[in-house]
Order: sequence, then structure tokens, then C-alpha cells
Amino acid sequence: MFDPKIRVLIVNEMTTMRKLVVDACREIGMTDLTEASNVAEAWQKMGETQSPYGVVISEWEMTQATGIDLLKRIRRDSKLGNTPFILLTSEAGKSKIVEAAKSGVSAYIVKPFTPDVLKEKIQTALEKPIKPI
Amino acid sequence: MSNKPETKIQIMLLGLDAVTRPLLDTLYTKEQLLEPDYDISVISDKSFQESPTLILVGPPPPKTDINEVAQTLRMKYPRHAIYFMTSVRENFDRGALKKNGFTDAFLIPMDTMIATQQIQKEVSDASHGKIRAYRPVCLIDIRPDQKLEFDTYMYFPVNRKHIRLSEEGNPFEQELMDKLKQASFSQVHVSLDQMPRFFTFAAQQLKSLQKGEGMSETEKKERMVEAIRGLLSGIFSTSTSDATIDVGRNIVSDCQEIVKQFITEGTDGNSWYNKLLTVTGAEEGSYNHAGNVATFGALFSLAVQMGNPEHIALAALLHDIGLADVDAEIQSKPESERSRAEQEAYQKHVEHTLDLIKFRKMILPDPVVKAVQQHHERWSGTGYPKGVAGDRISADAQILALSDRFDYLTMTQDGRARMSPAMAFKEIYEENLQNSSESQFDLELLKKFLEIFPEPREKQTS
Repeated sequence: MFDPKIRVLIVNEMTTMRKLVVDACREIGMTDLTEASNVAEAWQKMGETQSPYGVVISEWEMTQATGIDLLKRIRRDSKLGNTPFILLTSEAGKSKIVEAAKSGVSAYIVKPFTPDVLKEKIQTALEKPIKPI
Repeated sequence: MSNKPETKIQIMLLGLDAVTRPLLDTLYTKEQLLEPDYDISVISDKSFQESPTLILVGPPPPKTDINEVAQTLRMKYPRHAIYFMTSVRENFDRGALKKNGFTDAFLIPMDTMIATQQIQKEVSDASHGKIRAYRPVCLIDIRPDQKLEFDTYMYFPVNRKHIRLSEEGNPFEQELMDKLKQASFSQVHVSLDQMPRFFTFAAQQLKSLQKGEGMSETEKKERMVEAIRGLLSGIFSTSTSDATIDVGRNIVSDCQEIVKQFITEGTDGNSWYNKLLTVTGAEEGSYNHAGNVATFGALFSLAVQMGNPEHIALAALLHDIGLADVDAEIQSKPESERSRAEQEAYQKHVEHTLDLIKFRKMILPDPVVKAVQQHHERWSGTGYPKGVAGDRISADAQILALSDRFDYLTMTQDGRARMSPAMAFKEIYEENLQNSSESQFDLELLKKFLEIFPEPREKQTS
């Protein structure tokens, strides 16, 4: 079991969906939660913090920049490149999964999901070695 | 179906629009309907603990994204049936709505029948069959004098009642079958919980007739309706990324496939009459209507050797798609009650149909487009949109218009007695004869149909 005190960044432009992810994180005992309502805000929060985030849980489908855009940006960054990254999506199609894997995703959650699934995926993401892209 | 259930049924309604909401009042009592505020932040909260039988969702409140509503509800109710219902085509993308969490999405009034059936099915399932719902089955699939493991019913649209015709464990009697056929009935009803038994029976029948790989007429019809719905909701999608030549070509080939598979295959100059009898009297509903008009059109064309059956069927599948852009309230009013402006808005559906075909980049044979364009023209020149008369209306369009009128008269509709094919043609002939200055059809053409469908021997009572 991972340390529930790790810092989590939750990125989603849909307010209630973001809240549901926050609720699910709390339910599995996580306490250090930060929210961002879009990719630009997430990137800014990641850059300005002194203590890095232990995992990012981001929605894939967003209007301005997508979760994949954020993931690629992180993976290319020398400082943040190794951050475990979980993508949330409504699509379970093979091509989507391949695209996410190629971009260096650590775990992939298809909505709807339960707190137990989230817990399992965070564990997977933390254990998976990050491959540079 | 009964309004006094023994099992507690609660249907949660969220912001259904003025066209959709009244549908529920005709089906369920106030106590069965739960209407919380349409605020997903409240509903998604743990303190909101309602657990309804099913959830019906309308267009979202301002500044709320429908996909967010879908995802949030799906997270909150992972196993519930959650349906989106709207009368506004704008942003209606069935695929995207389903992908985001809705069980299905219905565009009203086009989908009214299918949505109603689906809601009744959910309620019937939840009540373990105590609240009854029925499905039409083709009479041709039921052989007389063979033991049936299900009850059959007849639906009386005038008083909206189902009366039992035969009881489980007993055969459907030959005499009853003859009477129904004589009165041009093509279908009876089976309760939803007994439908699996009906399908088992139909499969056994096909096997014994050595049509092992065949499909019952009931199943064929259900598949046709689903195929047409899939096809039309693809056309209705407003997503511009789908409006490409390739997608347009696929839609046209899907249309042709439906025409081939369900309508023209195996039907020729000799067999069209029997096929016609399997279709008449179906229940109202837009996809039924599109499928019926296509079938009647192709059959009428074969019967009087006029027009091209494939072209007519193709045009018939598409002839009313433009109605999706006409205000639902205007559509629901009878023509006599519409104001002039409303009637003009209604008549625009022909133009909307042609615009949709163009927008979707569907390349159709010219006669198909012409039939769509002219299906509301009248022989007397008093129709719309152009007011063309006589032979200037294409043969395909004349047959299409006749099938359209014929389906309207012969379909089973609540509150109205249905007509047999012979009665329908007599009615059409008389209305054209009496009002020749505004006649819709060529009387010579109608006379041919009167010969094919002679006067009924006895008056129909249902």
C-alpha cells in the first residue's frame, strides 16, 4: 500500500467530476489534494511548488489542451518528467489505450470508476517505471 | 399498462423539456415520479441518497455541459439506466452522449415510441413483470393450432386496452387466426416478460420449416427499426467532423443495405401482396413509419409497375428527417390547428431534409432526391414546396406520397380505429374524388389500387 500522504494533483475542467475524484481520493485515505481546472493551471501549479506532486490524476478530454498534452509536456520536462500520471477517460478503445501508452501514461482509468479502482490504479502508477518518450 | 403498481417504482426526472415531460404523465402517477432540482453538484453529493428505478434527463441548465451531467450521474449511479431525452436536435450526438455515460439518448418526437418502450421495459424489469408492458409480434410468426408457451393479446387503440386472445399452454386457434387475417391484422401483442418464450417458439418454428438460419418476421422488423434508428441518428448528429464525403458515402450505403436486407430482398411481382400484409397495422413511431413507408413504397411500385422500388424505398427512409428541425410542438398539432406561420414552419421540413442530405454529403441518385423533394406535392398543383402538378411530379414521388398517406391511415394509433388496406384506399379515393380541386393523387392511379384491394366484406370493429 502506498503512502496516503503523497501529494496529488487532480486536473479536470468539469467541476463536479473533479469533486468526485477528490471525494474518491479522500475515501481511500489521501489527504494532500490539489485541484486544477485546466492544463495551464496544472502546469503552473506543478512548476511553482517546492515539494513535487507524487501523482497526477488528469482527465483526458478537455477543451483547450487535453490530458495527453499535459502528460507529454511533463514527460519532456527534465525536472517533472518522472511524475506518475493517471489518465481518466470515457473511452476504452484500443487505439486510445495505445496512444496513452505511447505518451508515457502510468495508468489509465475508464469512467465510471469506484474508489477501489482508483486505489489500485494509483498503486500501479507508483510502481510502474517511467519510460522517457 | 397498469397505473397501480405493487412494486415501488420511482422514476427520477431531471429537467425534461416541455415536449418530453407530458409523456411521463400519461404513463405514470405523480407518486411514481421524483423531480429533484436539476443541480448535479447537489445530486453528486453523498448527502443525496435517492435510489430511483431509472433516471430520465433533459437538456442541461445554463452553463452546464451535458457530458458533465452524463459522467457525474454515471459515477453516482453506475448500474442504473440513465436516458437522455430532448426535443432539440442542436448538439444531439447520440454516440457522444452514450460514450459519456447515458444508457441511450432519445430525440423526441422522432424517438417517442422507442423511448416509451424502453422506459416501460425498465419499469417492467424492475417490478419483475408485475407492471406489464407489451411488444407487438408479427401474426405470421404464430402458427395456428400449436401450443404456445405465452399469452397473446390484442391491443385496442381506441380505449388503449390489451385484451387476451390466447392463454399460455393453449394453442392459437385457426378460427381466430382466420378472423384476424380477414380483418387485415398483421400483429398481436405479447407481454415483455414472455418475449423470450415467443422468440424460442419462433426459432423452433423456423427450424421445423427448415429455415434454420432464417429470422422471424418480428425479429426482422425489430432489427429494421434499430437499423433505421442507428442510421438516422447518425444523420442527425450535428458534429461537423462527421460531415465528410466518406461518412456521407457510408450513410448512403447503409441506407441501401437496409433497403436490400429488409425491404426488397425476396420480394417480386408475385410475393409483394403477402409482404404487405405482414407490415400493415404496425404501431406509430418514426422509425416504424420510415420503414413502413419504404416497404409500402417498394411494394406499391411493384404492384402497379410504376417508379423504381429501390429509389422509392431509399427516399422513404429519408423523406421526413427534416422534421428533426421543426419545432416539436408544431409537429404534434394536427394541420387544421396550426397557424399560418406554424404551417409554413412545418412545410419547411422538406427543405430541411434536403439541407441535411447536403450537409452530410450524401450522394444519392437524382430520382431519390426528387422523390424526397416532391413528396408533399399534389396532383392538383396545390402542394408544397413548389406547387408542381400532374405528371411533373415524378412517379417515385407519387408512390412515396401514397405510401406515406397509406401508412398514416393503416397504422395503429391511440384513440383511433385502424383501417384495413382496402378501407384506406377507399378513403383516399373518396377524399380525392370529392375534393378534386385540391386532389393529392391521380384518380387513375387510385383506381388501380381499388382493384387490387376490393371493398371489405365486413366492417372492422377495433
